[in-house]
Order: sequence, then structure tokens, then C-alpha cells
Amino acid sequence: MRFAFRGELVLALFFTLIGALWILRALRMPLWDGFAPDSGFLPLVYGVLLAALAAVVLLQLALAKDSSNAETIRKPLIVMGALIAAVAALPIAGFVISVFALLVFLYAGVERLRLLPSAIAAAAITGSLYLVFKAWLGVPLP
Amino acid sequence: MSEFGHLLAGFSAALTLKHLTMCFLGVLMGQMVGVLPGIGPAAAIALLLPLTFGADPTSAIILFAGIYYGSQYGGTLTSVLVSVPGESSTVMTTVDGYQMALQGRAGAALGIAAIGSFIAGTLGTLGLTLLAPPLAQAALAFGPPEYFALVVLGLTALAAVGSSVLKGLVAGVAGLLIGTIGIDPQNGVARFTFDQTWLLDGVEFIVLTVALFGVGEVVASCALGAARPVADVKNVLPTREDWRVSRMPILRGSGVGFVIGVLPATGATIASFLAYILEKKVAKDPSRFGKGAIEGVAAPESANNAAAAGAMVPMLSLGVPGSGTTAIILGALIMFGIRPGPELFTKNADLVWAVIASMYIGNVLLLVMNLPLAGLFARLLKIPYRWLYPPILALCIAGVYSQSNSLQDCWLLAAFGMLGWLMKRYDWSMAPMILGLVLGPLFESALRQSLTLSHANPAVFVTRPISAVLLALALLAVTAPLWTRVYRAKAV
Repeated sequence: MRFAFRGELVLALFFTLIGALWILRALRMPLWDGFAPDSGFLPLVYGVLLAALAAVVLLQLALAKDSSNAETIRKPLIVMGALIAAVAALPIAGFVISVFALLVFLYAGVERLRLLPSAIAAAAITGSLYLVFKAWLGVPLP
Repeated sequence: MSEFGHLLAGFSAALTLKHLTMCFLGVLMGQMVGVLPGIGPAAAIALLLPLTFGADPTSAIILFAGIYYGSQYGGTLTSVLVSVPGESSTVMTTVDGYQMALQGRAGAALGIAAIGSFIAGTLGTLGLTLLAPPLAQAALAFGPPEYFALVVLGLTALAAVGSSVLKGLVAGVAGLLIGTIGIDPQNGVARFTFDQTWLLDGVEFIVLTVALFGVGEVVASCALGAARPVADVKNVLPTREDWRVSRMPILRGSGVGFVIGVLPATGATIASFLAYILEKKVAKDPSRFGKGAIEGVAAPESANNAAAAGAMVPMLSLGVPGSGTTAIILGALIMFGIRPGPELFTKNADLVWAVIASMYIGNVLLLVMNLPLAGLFARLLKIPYRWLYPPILALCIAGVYSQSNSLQDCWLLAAFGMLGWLMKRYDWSMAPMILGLVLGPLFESALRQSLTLSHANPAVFVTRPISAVLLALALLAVTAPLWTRVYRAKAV
């Protein structure tokens, strides 16, 4: 069984578990007040619906044959990891350094472009974003 | 004031320098995102949401609408020149358009597509002008049960648009569920915050939209290969013979596209398929189709543009979006503090009519841009995706942070971005999740008010005729694929 197939199973399982979590939490809240639903009612309904619908998808996937292609996931995982690292670096290194490093890594590290054009592109993009958000829109970037 | 008077007032607003600039920028960006790989109109609007936060709502919606219908023009270029549909609604254009390009007639294909799109877009906008106001007027009688049923219809219809109704429903319910995070507006109780104070405000629409449509789409597309060889574009003006053969397909495509676009759970993709099939059925020599028949380009291109205008009818008059992109525009309206739905035409008439007027202007701008500049836009196809996606990711971070200067929102961006990547990769429709989040509060308050009015009698949803019809339509949207399967099995 390839990742492509297992990955969708994980996605369906994730939604099933989230539905179950909402059911458990909603049951601790008041469900009904007079004639109308209280805070826990709709979350409970959503939780039941999500868990049930996602479980059906899970079952369908479990019973189906693996017809997925063997498309690589390495690159998307690296890009996703780089994004997470950049977000983690924001409070420590600030917006400019984190985003510049992210862009250089993606251009030079992931896409294997030459370092100098990568650094120039990264600097130009980071600078443009800084100007738009900090100077023009007045956003206090970290 | 009559509809004509409102439209004139809309034109006077849309023709101001500010709105005209936004209209031009919108259609230009729409054209570009239609051409560029790995980024569609939904992602483009999602990325621009943070930049328009706090701006004039009319300008922003004119910009977003321009991106939406402009992308239908741009998608044609990739279909014709490299046989890769830029948008799902231009799949049928690929069939004959690319054959025409191989025969050295790429210019004629793009020219007739631009003219057909202009005619269809203008006719579709005319239909929107005539149909949306009376529909909204009729819907003004809506009470809480009807609003409840309307949200159910909106969610189920959007779920039915994707590849799997079941997965679409999962996404829609997940969106409603995310919408319960934060303070319950009814009684001030904190729900699903997991003792995190920053979750008290809930998950912002911008954060989820940018994460799913920005990060998710980019990460899913980053493995795209190098740019493909692009056919040359010459002689975009159609010959007299091209025009003679294409004029009826353009008119038929416009009619089919508009009607399909207005219906919930359909959209531009189905419209272009139906228009192509219709032309093949009525053609004297159907064997020409698939081998470079210009009608095979004219009809679906007209249909998808008319459908884009048609999809604005339920979105503006009822608050029911017919596609992922209109769902995001709907969310943007709410972000600007405007309640979408029947009251839009009375309470925000200036905005609605300015947007409708801008659609007429935008179609003219697109025609002017496409005939002489088709070759220039074709050059965008030569930009490799590896140069495009890193700045999009950086823009996602800056945009989401700027929403409320929150680093936690950036973590949500990464988490929902991961979810968006998986959903995109496995073809799970993401738009219902956005719509669920956006319409969740309206859904909950409508349910509470309906049950309070009816003394907790749930029959209120089926005894009121409009509510019953809307719920029946929702049921039809969900079960339609099942009926189609049964019908096909019987036919075999």
C-alpha cells in the first residue's frame, strides 16, 4: 500500500477523530434551554455528522483497491516543513530574516537554482512585502 | 428607483477612477491567474483578502469579481496553447482549441474565445441585472426557517459541485464545526477554545481561506514540472467564415451557461461541458469536433463566461454561492460587515449595482486586453512554477499575520495549510469548509430563532413552503449523483 492511498485514509481518520472530539466536548455543555438549542447542541450535531460522514469515507477507502499513483510527496513535505520552520522563527528572528531565509531555502535548496539569483529574488520579494505591509499598511511585523 | 435607474447609478459609481482602477486590476489579475499554473481565482482572492481588510468594500468586491470572471478568459490561453486547462471550466476548450493550435490557428481560437467570452459575459451580466433584483425581492419575505434552509441548500449545493458529494459534505460540516470555536454569540460561553485565550475570537475567515487556498494549493502544486513549449499566437481576429460558423454556438453557449450558472450545485465547468455536447449534437458534421472545430472553442468559452455571471445571481440575491470562488467573495462580504442575502439589494444597493456595472465594464476591458495582447499573456506561460510559489508562501505568512498581528494565526496557517494540501492532493473540495465557517453563525442563530418561534417544533422547517422547497432542493443536490448512477445503470 503506497503513501498516496494511506494519506487519504489518514485524512478521513483525522476528520473522524475531530468529530469524536467535538462530541465528547459538546456533551459537557448545556444542550437545550427552553425552546431553543443551547451552546452544546449544534457542536454535538456537527460532531456526530462529521464523525459519521468521515467514517463512511474511511470505510469506502478501506474497502477500495489501491488505485493511487506513486506521485512523490518528498518535495511538498520539505516545502511544508520549511513553512513551519519559518513560522517558528518569526518571534525569534523577525519577519525579514525568517522570510528571506525561507525564500533562499526554497529557491536554492529545494529548486536547486543558483545561490546568487536566489538571494537576489529572495531579497527583492522580502523587501517588497516589507514595504507593502510595514510602510504602506502600517502592520507591526515581528 | 427602477432597475435601470439603479444600474445607471451603479455605472456612475463604477466609472470613478478608483473603481475603474480596481476593475482593471481585477480583470488583469484574473487573466494572469487564469494563465499561471498552480494558482486559481480562489487562491488569488484569498491572498488579496488581507490587503483589502479595512478598505472600501465596493472597491474590494469589484476587484474580486474582476478576478473571478477575468480568470475564465485567462484559462483559455493555457487550454489552447499548451493543452493544459488553466481552470476546470476550460477543459472542453482544450479538445478543439489545442487541435487548432497544432494546425497553426491558435490566434483564431483565442480570438473567437475572447469575442465569445465578451458576448456571453455581457449577456450573462444582463441576465444578472434582470433576474437578481426580483429574486432578492421575493426572498425578502424570508424568516429564520427560510434562512436556515438557505444555508443548508448553500452547503449541500457547494458540496455537490466537487468530485465527491460525501467528501464535500465532510468539508462543509468541518467548516461549521470550526465555526463553533470561540465565544458563543448567543450566551457568551467559550466553546472549544481548549483553554487558549487567543482562540476566544474563533478562527478567522481570512486565516482559513489563505491556508486552504494559498498554502494548500501551492504545496500541492509545487511538484509541477518546468514550463511547456507554447504555440505561437498570430492573427487573433477571426475570419468572416470563423465568425459565421461561431455566432450561433456563442449565443447557444451563452444561454446554456447562464441558466446552468444560476442553478445551485452546477457552475461553469458543467456549463462548458453541456454547451460543447449541445454543439456536437446540432452540428451538421459532428465528426469535425475534436479535430479543431472552432465551434468547439466558441461554445464552451461562451458558456463558462455566462455561467460566471449567472453564478452571481444566487450569490448576490440569496447568499448561496455556486462555486468555490463565489463562496470566498461571499465570505469577503461578511468580512466587510455586509450581510449577504436578499437584503443586500435594499441595504447595500450602491455596492451591488456598482459591482454589476463594473462587470459590464470589465468584459469590455477583457476584450480590449485579449485581442491585441493575447500573445503577451501567452508569454506568462513560459514562467516556471518554481519561481512563483515561494513568494506566494511568503505573502501568505505576511497576509495572515497582518490580519490581527497574531503569531498564533501563523501557526493556524501552517496547520490548516497542511490540511489544505492533503485535501487538494486527494481531491476533497475545500470551498464547502470555507462556506461552513462563514455561514455557521447565521445557521446557528436561524435554527435557534426558528425553534423559539415554533416552540421547539422542528416541523416549522417543512410546513413553511419556501423553507420546504429549499430543503427539497438541498436533498436533490445531495442525492443527484445517486440518481444519475441509477439512471446510467438502467441505461446500460
